[in-house]
Amino acid sequence: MSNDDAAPATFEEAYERLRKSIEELEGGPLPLETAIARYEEGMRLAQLCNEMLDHAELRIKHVLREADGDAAAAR
Amino acid sequence: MRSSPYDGPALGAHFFRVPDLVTYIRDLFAADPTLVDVWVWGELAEVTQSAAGHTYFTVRDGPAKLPAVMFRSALRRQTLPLTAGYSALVHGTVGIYEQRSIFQLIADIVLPGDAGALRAHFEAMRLRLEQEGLFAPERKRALPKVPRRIGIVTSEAGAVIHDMLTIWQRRYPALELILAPSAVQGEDAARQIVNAFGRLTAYHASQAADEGLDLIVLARGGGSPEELAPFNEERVARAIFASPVPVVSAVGHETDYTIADLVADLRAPTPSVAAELVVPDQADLRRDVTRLTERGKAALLRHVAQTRTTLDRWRQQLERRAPARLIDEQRRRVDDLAARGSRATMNLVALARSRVHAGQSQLAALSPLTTLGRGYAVATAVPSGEVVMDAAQAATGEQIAVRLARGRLVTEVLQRETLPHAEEIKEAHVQR
Repeated sequence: MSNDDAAPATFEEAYERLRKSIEELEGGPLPLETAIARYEEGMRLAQLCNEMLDHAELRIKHVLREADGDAAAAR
Repeated sequence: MRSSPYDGPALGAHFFRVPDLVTYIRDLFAADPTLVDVWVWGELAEVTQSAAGHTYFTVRDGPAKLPAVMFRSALRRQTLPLTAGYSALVHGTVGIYEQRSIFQLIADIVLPGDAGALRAHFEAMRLRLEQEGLFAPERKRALPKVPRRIGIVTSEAGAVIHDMLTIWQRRYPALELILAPSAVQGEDAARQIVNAFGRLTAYHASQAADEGLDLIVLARGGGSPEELAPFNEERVARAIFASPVPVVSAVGHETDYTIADLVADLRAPTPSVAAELVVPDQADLRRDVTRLTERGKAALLRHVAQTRTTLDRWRQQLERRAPARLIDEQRRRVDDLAARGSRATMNLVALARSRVHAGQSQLAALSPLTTLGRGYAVATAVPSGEVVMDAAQAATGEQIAVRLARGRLVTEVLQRETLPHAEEIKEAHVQR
């Protein structure tokens, strides 16, 4: 649970946590306070998900070229 | 029949001009039913491609050489690459190439030789890899639904990488791409592909646990069977198999599977399809997010409604047990008891009263005053007050008080007459 307190860094994480919150909410008898907390968390995560998609930018992070020393592998 | 510049003995029908002789020979070849339909087995050599798209090669058997050509039209139907060094069974027509006056085999089919050099080699490798489990469905790894970091092995130049980037930009741009450029055709391609996998593997290993690659796409555009040859090499297959993350092959060949396709965790028919397959569509994701929030809303409302129902039930139960209610109840019970008590008391009082009445009347009946009322009197000694019931108790001259029904007299005994005791009592009874 303490792990989950950190803001999700990726869309996948945010989406996964959103799904879990909702399923927990739908799943079992929760104390009302917990249910409201799950709901609020879910709404926050949903907003975060959409914002992540809004601001996403395709990025070529690295180009790993053969020249970087490992060309020695050449026959 | 033929005129000649030669001025000597007549040569007759045996004289030819060069073009005529060549044509004569061509016609002989063409008229031969065997030469228009031959199969020949040998090793392919000196394979060259002409600018016009024809392939020239030599079929060799020991020291013997047969020049051959496969024209572009026939090449289109040819699936097996014409590769120098491979044994093959070649079908075609033997004819004369008139410009150079050489005969050649005009090939229309090239099949693996009886030893199946190329095909057999390929099939043997394929079988070996299959038996080793490189193609086993159960070792295919699932792709992550939403990848974050994708490794790409393809040529840096060309449409393939551009097309994939365009698709990702539109469909799911929240990606980090790690590009490992490699030639994807030609002599060195297989080695470069293996090396690119090695670089990606090293990159993956150098990252923190959840910062590594989610998958690798191995891509190239469509090509001839020969161009796809690197993707049929065993070392490429082993590099794919050894990848620490799932590999999607997209070798741009709709119909034929390469070995790379068979080893890959997922095979896409083209690079564009691969790009679409490996990421979700952000439009779908946004819809999912909306659906999830709606489900959450509904669940919370349901939860609140249920809680309210439960609360109502509890309140009702509580109210039945409320202290005020209990006090009321106790009070009612006390009242009840009090009522019963007072009824009981009243009964007792009434009983007592009736008893008193009875006692009173009894008392009245027994009262000496009543007796006195009937004319009796009570004599007492003075001053002792002792009731005088026997004349012997009083001497003449003594004072006797006499109680009457009304009032009292003090008298003096003038005379006394005594009676025997029993008789007196009897007399007293008779008198009552």
